[in-house]
Amino acid sequence: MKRGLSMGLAVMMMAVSVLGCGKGGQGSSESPEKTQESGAVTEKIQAEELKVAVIGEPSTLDVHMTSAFITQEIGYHILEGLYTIDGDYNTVPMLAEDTKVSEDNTHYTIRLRKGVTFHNGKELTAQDVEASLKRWVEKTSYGAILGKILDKIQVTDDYTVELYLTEPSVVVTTLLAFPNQQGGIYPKESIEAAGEKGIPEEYIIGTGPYRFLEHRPDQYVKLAKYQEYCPREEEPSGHGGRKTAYFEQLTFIPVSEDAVRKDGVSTGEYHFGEQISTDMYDLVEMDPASEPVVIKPWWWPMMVLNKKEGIFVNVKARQALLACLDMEACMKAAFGNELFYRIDCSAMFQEQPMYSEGGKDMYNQHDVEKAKALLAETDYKGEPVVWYTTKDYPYMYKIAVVASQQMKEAGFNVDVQVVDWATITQVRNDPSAYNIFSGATTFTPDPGVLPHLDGTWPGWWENEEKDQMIVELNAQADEEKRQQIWDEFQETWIWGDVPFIKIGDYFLLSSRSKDLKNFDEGPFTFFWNCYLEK
Amino acid sequence: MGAYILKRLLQLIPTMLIPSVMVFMLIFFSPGDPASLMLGPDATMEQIAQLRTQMGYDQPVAVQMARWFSNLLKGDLGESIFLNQPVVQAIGEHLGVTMALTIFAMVIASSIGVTLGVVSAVNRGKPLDQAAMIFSVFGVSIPEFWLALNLILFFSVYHQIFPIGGYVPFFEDPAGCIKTLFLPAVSLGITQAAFIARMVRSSVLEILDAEYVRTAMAKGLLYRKVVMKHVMKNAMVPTVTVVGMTFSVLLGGAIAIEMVFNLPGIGRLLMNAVLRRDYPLIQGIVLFIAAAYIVINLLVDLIYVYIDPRIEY
Repeated sequence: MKRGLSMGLAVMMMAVSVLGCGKGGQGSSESPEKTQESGAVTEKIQAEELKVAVIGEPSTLDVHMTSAFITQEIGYHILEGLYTIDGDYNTVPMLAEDTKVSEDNTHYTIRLRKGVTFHNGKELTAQDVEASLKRWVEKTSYGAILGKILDKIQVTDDYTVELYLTEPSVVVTTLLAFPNQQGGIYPKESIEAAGEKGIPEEYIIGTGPYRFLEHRPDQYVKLAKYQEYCPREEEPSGHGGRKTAYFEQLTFIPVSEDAVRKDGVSTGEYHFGEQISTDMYDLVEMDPASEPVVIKPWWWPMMVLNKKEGIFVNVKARQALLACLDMEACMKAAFGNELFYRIDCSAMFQEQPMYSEGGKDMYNQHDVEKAKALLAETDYKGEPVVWYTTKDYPYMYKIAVVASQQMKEAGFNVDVQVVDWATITQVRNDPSAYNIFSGATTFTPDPGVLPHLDGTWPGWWENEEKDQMIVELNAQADEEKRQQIWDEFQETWIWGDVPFIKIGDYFLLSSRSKDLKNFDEGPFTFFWNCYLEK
Repeated sequence: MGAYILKRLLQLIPTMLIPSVMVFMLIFFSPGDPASLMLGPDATMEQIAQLRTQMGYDQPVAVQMARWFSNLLKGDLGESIFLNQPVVQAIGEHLGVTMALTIFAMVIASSIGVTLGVVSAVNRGKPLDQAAMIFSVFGVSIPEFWLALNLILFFSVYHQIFPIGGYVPFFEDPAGCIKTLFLPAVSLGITQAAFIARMVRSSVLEILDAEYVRTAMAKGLLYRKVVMKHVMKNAMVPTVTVVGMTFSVLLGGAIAIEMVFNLPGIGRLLMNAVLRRDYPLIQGIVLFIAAAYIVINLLVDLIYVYIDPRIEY
């Protein structure tokens, strides 16, 4: 069953999960374990501390406040949602015990696991879920997607929450599961303590395997093992299943230079160095103390076209732009090593459900003559095509350099403006300021919730027919029919209407200590279930 | 003297206000806003607009500036948007690192720079002078971050003598503090030493040609004694100026070095504040740097009096 919970017709039981947490949590059950690999018995070390060199400082630790990766990553360890995604990117329950979905997909009854406690010792109840979900709906983009169709959240008893929708949707559990805008459940008291900048750090409390300990800005964020953690009983898979915390303490250290993150793992100062330049792959591979980690899939870079003002209001101009692009050349320039990119037209990664080859023929055409012909059908007279890009993400700049050259061959008069990322986040909201801006799409769990399909997202893809098809997609419970709708959508709308242009898939390089075992290389980095081994 | 000090301290007010207003205007008219960055790449325009309103960044520039100055008069520099703490507290927490690094780097820079400058001057034209000047040309030319990365490669990665980054407060672990600050201080110290060496050399050379030095030599004093007693003392005025300037620069934050060595100092704080468009924090740091420059220059001027009694205020 590919899509797991979100397809549920009547009762979808996740019966294997615990009915209550056993005594003692994870703290009492842990002791050094022996494993046998390659004939040699090795010891999993119950290490005091795991040090992770991260790319920067979190602006907040409140996961409802931002989709910034650093906040979310730290949050995975502290907070848990009702659902999460497993190693195959299917939605699976986490704090939910089971879920009943009405036949018309407008009513969800979610029963909670009993005996799950927050880090402050209080038991998780439906009141906490209600308060958290209401705030998540208000504060996050994915929550807002649910908010548009959410009639009400109702607490039936201490362990049951019901969601009533105004229209059918099969992506509710997917939205609640997505780790990068996680619907993390806080105790009600934390939600009540939230100010305009989010929940104060002393109220960052969840049910996860680690609890918040200390944050010293620009120095570290420390988490401590939550001794009373109540794990699920299913086998671990991605963020799903049983979670075991092998470290007494997790320390996230902001290290701005990627060379230092790499060298830190090499010298043993850090156990994990995130997001290092792919040019360093060979160095990491040759290093006796480190191991390269290729996070695959990761994101995909794109050119977002302004469809409200300027030349790209005309679909022919957008199609002309698409026709002239050589994606292989762009990706090669941006990422160099073929290990870190892939030429693929699908908005969903190959590794995900809902992968589609719809519109494949229109992707990576590199047909300059066709582009010229299409452009001739528009009233374009050589006005500057303003493209905002940034060197903060070097691949965006490199793609802009190569692609703008290809555009010039097709007759576009491209004006590449190189600014910092902060500037792009502001400029992209002004329709008179640009024609194209560089962007990238983070891993998205379901095509029905891709943020840039929304007409209010920068670029302004306003089209009722397209919106109707998204509604249809999100209401369709049958997996095959849903795939058909998505295939058609991708072909007709993403590659036919060209609201934005995906360049290709790219993957991330990180570095880990060779002693760090059982590390999951998925796109949402986490440090439970992994351990240090002698 | 007292009146002079008071006058100089009063000059602090306009000197700090001018850069503050300039930075405020510069920030206001440069694109990018903290709300977009706080909310992350997938935020909708509605959410961004809502947060901007909550933070007061949708107000006209005059209103924002008036609010900032009125708070400043009450001694309130505001609250950092990203660090969720008062600006004064943020600067205070990061100042210790920068102070420790600055002092360490200045000890290295002054001892190497002054020694090289003097040795070079008294051996003018000889191989020792040439070697010292080659060193100082290299020192001035090498980018600090490049030197830092090479030091890391050699001393941390290959030989693992020093850690590659991080910081241990001096009062928690003095040895650990020195160990973590050694490579950054050397990276900064070498370049500053080269600068000081060149300045000391030319000052000493100028004084060596002075008539009172010739007189001292003619009296039959030992060359070493002439250099140490007459030349060095007179060469100290320009040297103290250079050392003071260097100190001010370093106190304002050695941005590249603090970034490379992952030191939570003022330089890194400023860099991150700019990248995050943390307006109150940028303002606060600029004010602090302006004040640091003025106070250090004042101290340098006061030191002149003790070095050269002919100077009076």
